[in-house]
Amino acid sequence: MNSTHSFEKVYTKNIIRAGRLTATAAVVLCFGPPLFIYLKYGMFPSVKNLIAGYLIILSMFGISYFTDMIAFYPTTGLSGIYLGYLSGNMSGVRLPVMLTAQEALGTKAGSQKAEIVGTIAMGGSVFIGVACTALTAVIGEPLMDLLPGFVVNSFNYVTPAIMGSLISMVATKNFKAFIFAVIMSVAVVVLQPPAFIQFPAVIFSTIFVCIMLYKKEKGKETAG
Amino acid sequence: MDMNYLEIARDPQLWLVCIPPILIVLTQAILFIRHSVKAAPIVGLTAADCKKSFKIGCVSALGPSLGVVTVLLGMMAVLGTPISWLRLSIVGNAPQEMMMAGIGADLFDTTIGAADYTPEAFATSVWMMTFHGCNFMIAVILVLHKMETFKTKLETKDSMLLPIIGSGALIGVITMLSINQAKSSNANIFALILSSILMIILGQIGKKHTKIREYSVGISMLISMFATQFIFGS
Repeated sequence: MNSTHSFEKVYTKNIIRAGRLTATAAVVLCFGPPLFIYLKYGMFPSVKNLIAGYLIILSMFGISYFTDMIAFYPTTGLSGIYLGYLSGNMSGVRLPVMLTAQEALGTKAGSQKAEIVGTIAMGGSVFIGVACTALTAVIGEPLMDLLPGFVVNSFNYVTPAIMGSLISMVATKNFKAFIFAVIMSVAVVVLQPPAFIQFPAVIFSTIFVCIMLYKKEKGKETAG
Repeated sequence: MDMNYLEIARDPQLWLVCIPPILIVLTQAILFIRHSVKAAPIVGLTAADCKKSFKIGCVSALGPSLGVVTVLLGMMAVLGTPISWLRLSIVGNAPQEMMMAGIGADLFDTTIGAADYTPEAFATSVWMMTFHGCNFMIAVILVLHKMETFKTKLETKDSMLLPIIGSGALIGVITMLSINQAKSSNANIFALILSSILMIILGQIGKKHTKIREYSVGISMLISMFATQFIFGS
């Protein structure tokens, strides 16, 4: 397919290069603060503690680092992972923003169009996010005192409120798969398997159900 | 040395070392937006579509970002402003950052911000948060570009397969994120349900008045946020 080939050349290759470059730069620069604390104050956790801590982190998130990538990839595309991972707050900010833009522009889930729309939207969210956190860091506490208490407290409900609107979109898209996903999610939340299994379990099983439903439909069409 | 960890955490020079990674994040966003806009015509998107996507990205990020700000304020109090600002502007989310800082404290048999949370414990917390963030990036650097080959293999099997997988993943992600929210409180469940109902109503209205479509998420979000706060308090 011509357009896929040129998309890869014009977009994907550039994204991979820019993504890996910025990720590498970030890894290197992130060691600035802990090294600064050591160089200026001489504060350094012993090597033993560093290793112990690192192993704990691996046991908690080791698999998540990879499975999250695979699980989110169909929704975000390659660029969405590079951008979303580096800027952080994937499930809280990046994903909702990306999904909102994709819905507003009517893109097909997992398509190249969806990836472009989602990436531009995510990029916007990065600027806003950094602006908000920078402003907060500089101004701090007095900022919260300016807004009425009611408004400030209502922000505790931002995320469920946004998720609710997204729920209505997926529920109307494929109701059977949605119901399965609800049951699966509740099961996961109740049974509490290890953290790195939770998201992938729901995502992969829902994908499986969708494929099964699709094959059943296809079977009916060829038979009938 | 009987130093309080906050002396380090609030060192103005710490700001200077915390800025470069954030600049990288901004650089990446700029680069990716530029590449996306260049590739837009190939997939049938107009310049207006790109502007719209960017606008929606900025506007819909305001609410959740203010949610991050709320957590940031809390973190600033115990971990100092520069480190908190850095960690919440880069890889990982707030709960995970606090978990990592907690691991650091735990290695010294204390908790974040406690009386015996020494400068060394604080340094360890910073290392843990750094490791966690870098792990994400290392995983991405090592593996992500191979996802495309995996994806192309799938596409050759059945061209409908990828959209189905995409749609299934979408449903799974959104549902799981929502149930995660719902489990915290009845108020959250109420907010979720109210905004889905509002969204369905606005969707119907949006069919006749297309301008509404862009703002329906925002409107249903604000109404259910305020309604939930009004009914349940915080």
